[in-house]
Formats: sequence, C-alpha cells, structure tokens
Amino acid sequence: MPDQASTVTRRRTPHRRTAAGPRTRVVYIGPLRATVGKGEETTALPTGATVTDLLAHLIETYGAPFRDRVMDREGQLLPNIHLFLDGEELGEQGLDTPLPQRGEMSLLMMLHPMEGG
Amino acid sequence: MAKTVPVPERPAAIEDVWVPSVCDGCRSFCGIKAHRVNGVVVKLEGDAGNPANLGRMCAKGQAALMSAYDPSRPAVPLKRTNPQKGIGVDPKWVEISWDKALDTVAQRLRKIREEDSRKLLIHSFDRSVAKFVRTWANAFGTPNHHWGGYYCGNALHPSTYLTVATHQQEIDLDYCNYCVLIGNQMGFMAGVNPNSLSIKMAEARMRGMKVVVVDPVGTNASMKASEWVPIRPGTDAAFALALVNQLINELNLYDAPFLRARTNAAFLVGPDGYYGRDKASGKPLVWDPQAGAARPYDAGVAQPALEGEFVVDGVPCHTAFQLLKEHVRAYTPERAAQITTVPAETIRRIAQEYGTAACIGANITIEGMELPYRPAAAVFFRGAVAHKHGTHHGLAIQLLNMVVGNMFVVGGYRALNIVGPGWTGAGAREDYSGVSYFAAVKIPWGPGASADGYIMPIPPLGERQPYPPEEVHAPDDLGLLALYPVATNISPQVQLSILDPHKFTIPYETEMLIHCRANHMTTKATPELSAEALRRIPFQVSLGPELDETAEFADIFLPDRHALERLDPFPQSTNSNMAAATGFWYWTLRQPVKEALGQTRHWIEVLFELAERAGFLGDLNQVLNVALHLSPEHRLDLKQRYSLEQVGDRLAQTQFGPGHSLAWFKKEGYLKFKRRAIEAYPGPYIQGRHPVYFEHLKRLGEKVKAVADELEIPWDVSDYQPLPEWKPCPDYEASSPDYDLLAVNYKSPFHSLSVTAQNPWLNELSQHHAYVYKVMVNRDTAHRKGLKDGDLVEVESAGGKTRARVKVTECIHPEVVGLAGGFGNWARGRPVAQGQGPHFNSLIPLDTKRMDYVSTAVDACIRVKLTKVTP
Repeated sequence: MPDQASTVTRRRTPHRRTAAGPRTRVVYIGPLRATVGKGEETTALPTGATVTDLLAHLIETYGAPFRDRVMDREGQLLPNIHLFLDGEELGEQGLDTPLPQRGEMSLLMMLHPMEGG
Repeated sequence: MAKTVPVPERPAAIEDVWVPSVCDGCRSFCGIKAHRVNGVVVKLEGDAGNPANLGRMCAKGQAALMSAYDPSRPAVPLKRTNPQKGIGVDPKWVEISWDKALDTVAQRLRKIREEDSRKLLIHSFDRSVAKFVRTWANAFGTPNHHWGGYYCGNALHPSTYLTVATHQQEIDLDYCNYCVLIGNQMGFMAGVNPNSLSIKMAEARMRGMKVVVVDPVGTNASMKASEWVPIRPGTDAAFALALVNQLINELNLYDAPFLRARTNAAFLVGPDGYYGRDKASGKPLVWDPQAGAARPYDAGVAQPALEGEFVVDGVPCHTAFQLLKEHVRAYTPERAAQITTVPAETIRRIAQEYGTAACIGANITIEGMELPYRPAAAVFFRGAVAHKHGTHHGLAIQLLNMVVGNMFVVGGYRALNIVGPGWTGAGAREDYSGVSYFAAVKIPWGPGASADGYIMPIPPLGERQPYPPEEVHAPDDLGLLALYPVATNISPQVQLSILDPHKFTIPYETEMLIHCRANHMTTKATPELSAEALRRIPFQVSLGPELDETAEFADIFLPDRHALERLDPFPQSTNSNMAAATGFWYWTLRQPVKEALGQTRHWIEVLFELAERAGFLGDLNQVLNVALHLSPEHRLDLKQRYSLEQVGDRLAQTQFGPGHSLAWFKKEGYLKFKRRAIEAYPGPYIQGRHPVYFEHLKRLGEKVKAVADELEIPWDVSDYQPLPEWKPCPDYEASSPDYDLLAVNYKSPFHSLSVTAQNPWLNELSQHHAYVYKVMVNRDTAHRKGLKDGDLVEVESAGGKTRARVKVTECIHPEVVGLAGGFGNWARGRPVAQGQGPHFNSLIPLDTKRMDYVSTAVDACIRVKLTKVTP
C-alpha cells in the first residue's frame, strides 16, 4: 500500500510520551494473532492518546502486514475489523475515544466467509 | 387340523407423535415430519406447510431413516493405534473416553495457538452449521478454515458473484417460457430447493415452457427436456458466446434500455482496455450524445451511447458494448459448431427462439407493479464450469442473460435472495416500506454498488466489501486467497500448499487438521495426493457420523450425531437455498427426532467444549456475538460456555423477536412469510450494475501478478480478461490415440455428495438403476470398441483409473463416457458403499495446468481410454 495519508494517521493526536499516559492491554482475536505473533500485549501511550493513536502505534510497530489487514487504502477501518474498548464495541465514530488509564482494547478480525464447493 | 398360534398382543403405543425437523439429505434442507412411535422413528415425510419442499420429499430424504439406524455408525470416541496411514490401511481403532480424547486434542490446540494459530486447518461441509465452524476457526485465529471438495465446480460462485452479487441462481419458473439449462439439472431434483423447483418445473412444462438442456450426458433433466443438445465437454463458453453473437449482431434481439441503465455496457473503454475516467471524480465515463461529450456514468445522462467510438481527451474510446459486439463476432455458428459439435443451424435456431421468447420491451403487472417481462433465461452449474477456464464459461453464459435484460425480472433469471425480506428499493412504491413482518424479521439486506457502479454482494461476502477487493496483498493462508481475489473456494490450492508450503511462501507447516463431514479422500482430485497431504499433517481429528475414507487417516475420531438426532438452529442459508420459487421467506429449526446413538455428541458442542479446554472460550463468544449479530440483550457472556441450543435461542430472539424463541420453533417447526413482488422481482430497483465488461478483472489480474512476482510464485493471470472467451481445456485435443474419449461426471438425483452411497435403500436403488453405478458409453462408440452392456471396463486417465460396468446408451455424447459422482468408496466403516460404483475423482490429476487461476476450478473433463477387463 502506498504511503498515503490515512484516516488513522491524519487523525493521530500530537502529544509527547509520558510515564503517566494510558497503558492498554491489547488483545488480538482472529487471524491478527498470527499477524502480530502474539495473542496480547500491553502498550503505553502518551497522555490524551486515543483509539486512533493506538492503531497508528500498532501500524508503526507491525508494518504493512498489519496495516493491510485492518485498513483500506483510504485509511478507513475495514468492515471486518471490530474494536472493543473494555468490552464495548466501538464504531467508526469511536476512533476518537480517549484511551482510559488502564484499559483493554480487543481487535477482532472476522474471517472472510468462504462459501461454496 | 391347523394349530392356532396365539399372536402376541401388540403393546399400545405409549408415544405416537409427528415431530417437525429439517432433512440433511442435501444442502436444501427440506422441512420434514418424523413419525415416532415409542421412541423409534418409523417414517419421514415432507412437511406440507414448509415452503422449502411443499410437502414433497425425495429418495435421499426418505432414506435418511436407514442411515440414522445404520449399525455401522460409530458410537464411541476412538483412538488410532496403527501409526501407518494410507489408502486402505486399517487404523486399528481402540475405544477412548471422551474426557481423554478431548484432553489430548485440547492440549494440541493450546500449543498450536501459542506457537502459530495458522498451523491448524479446520474444514467441514456441514452446511447446517457453517457459521459456527467459521466462528470457531475465527476465534482460534486460523485463516485456514476451508478445504472443501469440488462439488459445484468452484467456478460457479465467482461467476455469479461477479455478475449478480450472490452465491446461487434460479429461474423464475412461474413465468418463464424458455429455459436453457447448461451443465445442470435445476428443476429436475438437483440444485437449490429441488422438491419445490421440480414442482414448479413440471407445472411450467405443462403450461408449455420449452426446456433446452445443453449437456454431454443424457441426464434426468436431458431426458425430460423439450430438447437435449449434446455438447462436447468444456465448450459451453463457445456455445454461449455464439448465441450472444447471434442475439446482438445478427438478430438485434437485445435489451438496449436495460444494457444502458442496468449494466456497464455504455461505459467508455480506452485502447488499453481500461475505462475512460472522469479526471475529477475518477468515475467511468459514458458518452452523452446530446452534449457531444463524455460524462461520469452517474451524472444523469438520459440515454448514453451504447455503441460507437468516441474521442475523449484525444484518446479513442469504445463503449463496452461495442467491444462486446466485436468480440463475439468471432463466435460464428459455424466456428462454434466445430468447437462444440452442436450444429450451426441448432445454434441459430436456439438463439432465435431464446431471443424471441425473451419478449424484449414487454412489461407485466404484478401486485399493482408494472415490471419488465422477460420469460427466457439460462442457468448453469458444475457441468459448464468445472474446467480449466471455468470462470470464462460462467461469465459467457451470464452474458446470455444480461443481453436480454432478464435480471431479476418476471420470467427471467434471478440469483438467490439478492434482497431480503422488507427490502424496499429506491423508487419502489411507498407502501412497500414498513411491511408487517419487517418488525419480526430483523435481518434486512440488499445489494450495494461500488464506486464504479458494480453491483456489490450481499452477505456473506459482504463482510469483505468491496467484492472483488480493490487491493491484493501477500497471503499467509494455505489457500492463498489474496491471489484468488474472486474465488469462493480455494480448496485445490490448500492441498497444493500442504504438499509444498515453501513453494507458495507459506511460513509454517500445517500441524493439525480438524475435519467433519467433508470426505477429502473421495471429493478431491487424485486420492493418492490427498493421502499424501493428510500424511503430511502430524495430527488429525475427525468427527462425523461415520468412519469414512478421510477418518481412516485420523489419530482421534469423535462420533457426531445423525441429523435426526441433532439440534441445528436455522440450517437454511439465504445464499444457498430458500429460492424465490418457493414463494416465501422461511426459517426452520432442526431438532432431534430420535434419541442419540451411544456416546455421540453434536460436533459443534464438542468444538465449544474444546474452546473452553484450550483456553479461548472468551474469544469464541466474542466472535459469535459479532458473527451472529446478537442484540445487546442476547449477547453471550465471555466467561460462560453455552450449549448450541442456548446460542440458537439467542439467535432466534435476536432475529425474530421475543415471540419467536427456540421453544416456539420446536413447537411450530418453521416461520414463514410470503414474498412480495418487489422481493421476487427486485430488478428495476437495484442500484448496482451488472457488468458485461469485466474491467475490474483485468485490473485485478495485474495486481495479482505483481504480488505473485514479488513472492516469486509462478502465477498465470492470463484468464483475468475483461471479456469472456472460449479456450480449450488441456484435454480438448487427444494427446494419444488410445485416450480417445472424454470422461465427465454427472449428478444422480437420488445421491448427494459422498454421503448417501452408504445408505442401504439408495444403494439398492442404484444397483437396480440402469446407469448410476455404470459407465455410460455411446452406442456407436461401444460398437466400435466391441463393448456391450455389462462388460467390466477399466477407465484410465493420466491421473488414475477406476472400474465400472458398461451401460451402452444413446444418452451420451459419442466422444464422452459418463460416470455419476459420489461412489467407489473403500472405507471399512462404510460397508454398504464399499466397492459400489466407480470413483470419478480418481481420474482427475491435481495439476496447476488443469486449474483455473481465477476460480481454482479443477478441470473435470479428462481424456480416458477404456479397456475391457475380466472380473
């Protein structure tokens, strides 16, 4: 995918990393487990970081294989990606939600539903 | 004096009930009623009120009674003791407890999930519970959840998704007057809703509908048709394109307003084969004759040019329809006759009859709606598309429908359930919104439109919008799905990847297979290669109601319940059955009608328990909540294990409201609503366009090639073309004079998949049937080869061999031998099926040269020689 400005990167909140920022347990559900090579991890982001910032951080960390599975070329979340923040599903509007100081974000990737014989 | 023997008094029936449920004899899931007396099911009948089958029941359904009480059914979990695995090798099973078996499997699952979840491959063709299998695989984290057989020919579904955005197809038999069946038997006890559609077909024939069956085999459909057109296998595209040529170049029998408004026929195409696009919006252009200029296709041009050449920004462009017209000129009846063996005059006549019957321009009023009336249509299935260039065959036949404008209109072609109950298209009557049942059925759907105007799929492929995808990325699944962006079945590639993962840059090796009700050993090409693929997988768990050929490779076998013992919430799928021909929307519950055998368990319940034991129950429930769209009040708690019945109850109440719990369905059997005219004939109100020019395929092909090149995987993208054409199958020409015949397979109406051969009633029926266990040989061919009825012959191809008795007949193309599919079993656990009939798939080599790189179809017409052998 070309390095075009994406929704996720455009919307990223500018701030500095501080020790007091949100620590988020990120849980990968579905094939994303294999993409990132783990089932969960904990991230530390600067104060004021949002869900978008967390996604941008993960894209930076895991590169194109991760990005291509969660976003389209316009930077929009793919329809088979579902985000849950502390158990509550976030829609597209929820991307600006600030991360809580201690929270859990689940990234669920739904498989392509193969059909037919 | 005769001695009187007292007849023991028959005990009074303590229980004598009829229980509604759902048949599992094929993928159409007819409504049944089981007559149970004192705990024993003594009779199965069609449920008269269930629209799926209108009270009728086929031989497969009736005979399910015998498979339920089959004494060879395994009743306990089994463990393999023989480390050797191979065709015919005895696994030397020993009994194992459920607890021990599940513990063993769960430990493996936990380890794989921690290492790399992709190392698990799971597959089933248990269509009743497909959604649960997929969600389980999803929660585990493996993309490898599809390794189906080549049942539908693989190229069928991409061809329909690309043109009509759905999975399956049918014809409006209520109004159709001219029906062309190409390589299929719709309406003759095969395909979707066979019982209902066979009634409709019979009624339509009685009122005078002409049925033309194009097939190398004189099938059940061929013999009942008005006209059987024997065709050389693998030439259906040439036949269809010759008809299209006649319709649009010779007879002027095409629907110009439909082509302008509802297809991309008016889109301008540049000399590079790509659309001319608007510089500002990027949208494809059409030519506005009034303005003398090109405009975006959605700019409201009243009557864009359908034909001609126009210069746009100095670049000469043609309309897509103009290119189509020029393209099909090569398919003259004479040339097509050479390719297909169908006489040129027959092609001309059928084109004339079909085009005339389509009544282009006519309308009809139904439920107060004036709708287009196009009572002519063509449908196809495996016979037409199970070929090296299968997608081209499918798309060529779809052109035959599109040029006469019969899409989703009265008497014409319709793909299955393009709109859901309560759908109201743009411009439809206002009183069609807010219909009474809309509040009860909370699952509305309808097609979308892409930026380029293409019709977009309904679920399930809607999860992956847009279809086809615009971008191609490096794959990491065994099926290399990203390199087959329009495919819906990547099964052959899965097998190739297991055998040689490094060749396809798969960064892991498959460590475990879970399989249920998908008999890989018999439903795929080349059993020896299937066996080798299974041997490469270190640990295999098979679940199922019988010990089939694939289960013989398992390390652990877990016994599944028979369909008459199972509870399956709503097995029907709106993309595979529930044809509009039934006249209704309906949802039926499958519920147990007899006590389960021994220790058998529903295999989905087993998967649920394995998720808990392997530590991913929370993920499973999370995925189930999303996949089933459970409403907030019915969502699953992430920490609790639910039974399938509990999940089904939540699904029922989510979809149909609190008044329709699973308890309601247990009592009533099914919920049905009559379809409205707009739901049966949504054509004029659908926004997306049906492509007659596949510009997006061409573009995708280049993207696929770029990714494949980067990965250094040899990949052929030559079939990614904007216009379908006929290309010869690899075996079109005989490479050796000995291999002078083409073998094809066909469907018997009283067998389904690889399952029914073990049924004693169906076996007996087949043994007495003139054709089913035989190899059909044309009378002249048999005479030439000195063969007669009953001779035992070896049918041998470059891929393998099988044996069968000869049936000399005129009901087969002279160049062809026909073998019904689904037989030739060898598993110890299937004593009735063992050795009965030929095994067609043994003849097919699994070879990329014989595979369609668009759909993954494996060519199923193959050169063979016949050799008479002594029994």
